[in-house]
Amino acid sequence: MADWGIKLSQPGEDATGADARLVFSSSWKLLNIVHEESFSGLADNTTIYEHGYDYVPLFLPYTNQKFTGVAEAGVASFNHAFGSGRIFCDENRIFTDGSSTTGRVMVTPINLLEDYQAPSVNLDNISKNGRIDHDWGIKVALEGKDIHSTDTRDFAIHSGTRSPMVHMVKYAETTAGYKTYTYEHNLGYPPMFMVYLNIDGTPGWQVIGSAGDTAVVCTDTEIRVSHGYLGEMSVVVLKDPLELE
Amino acid sequence: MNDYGIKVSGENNNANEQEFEELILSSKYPTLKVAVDEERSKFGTGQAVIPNTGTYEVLRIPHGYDYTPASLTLVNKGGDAWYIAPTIWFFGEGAINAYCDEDDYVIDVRDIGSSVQGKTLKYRYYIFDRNGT
Repeated sequence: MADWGIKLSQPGEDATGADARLVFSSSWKLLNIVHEESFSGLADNTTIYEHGYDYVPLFLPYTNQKFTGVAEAGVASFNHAFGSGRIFCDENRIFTDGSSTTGRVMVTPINLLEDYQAPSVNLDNISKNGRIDHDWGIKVALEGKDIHSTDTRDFAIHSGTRSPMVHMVKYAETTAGYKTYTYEHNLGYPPMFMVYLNIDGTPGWQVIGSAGDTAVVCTDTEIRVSHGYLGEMSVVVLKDPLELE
Repeated sequence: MNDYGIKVSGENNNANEQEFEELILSSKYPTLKVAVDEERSKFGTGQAVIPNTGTYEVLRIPHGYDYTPASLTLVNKGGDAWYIAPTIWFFGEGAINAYCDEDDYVIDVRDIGSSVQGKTLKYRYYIFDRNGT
């Protein structure tokens, strides 16, 4: 980090100490949620949101599908990969592919087509449950929200929470023919990650998982994506701000 | 935006000259967050042995929110590879999903077959403080 910026320490920790003891540092790139949109029963190729960027933004799609053909009201499932009702994105909009799609999408200003590598941030041995001292901390309320709110959705950051940080974004063009693409992250643990694919001849970018003819896995050191599609791919890895034992 | 709030730019950028979308942090947009408060902790790990055929509910815990939150889950079916849920165990046997409903966070395995029974499923889950529906 440069010799200027802002650092917010966890309760009871020194802000001049290790990054692992911070709630926030201006050296970290966070997932700012610039738009959220719920939708219900949309027909195929229906626009959910025109994002207005001239790039493809990182988006987090959720649908009400528990399993293939099993939709249930009130359920939020990350990018259900089985069956229809997928959510796509291009340079202009987020839209449906498949009929009767119900869910919600979050949009961030992270460009999926632009490589990014975060500066080194040591996050070993960090936040555990119950470390919060309620007598002090920091809260940044959003516009129009009460600083005394008990709903953490009302805050940009809150010392009772941890925010995943963007560790890397890797864009690549892919070729036809089944192969495995490998990306090192070297975080030392299996991180949260997303893989987006823009298959030639399909409507746009979609999140892919391990089902059918795609395989997406992570290990302590790398992300491996296997498929045979001609097109474009973007791999996003998030730094884990939480200690999971 | 009002004439008050907070804007934090990244290194070598002027917070007054950047669009809000370009800032590291501002009071205009929320960030994706996970509560770590002991009364509201929204992350964890665990494992379970898949016992039978049909459907097995690996984990169901109250998420404690008065809305249906978004979540993200990694699952491990053996070895060092972790998968983002939903995923499959083996083709034709064992669809794994994780989701939230109005009350609970849930991981379950459906279509369990003979090649899945007795296997251990490990999981790492994060429940965010954003609406998933």
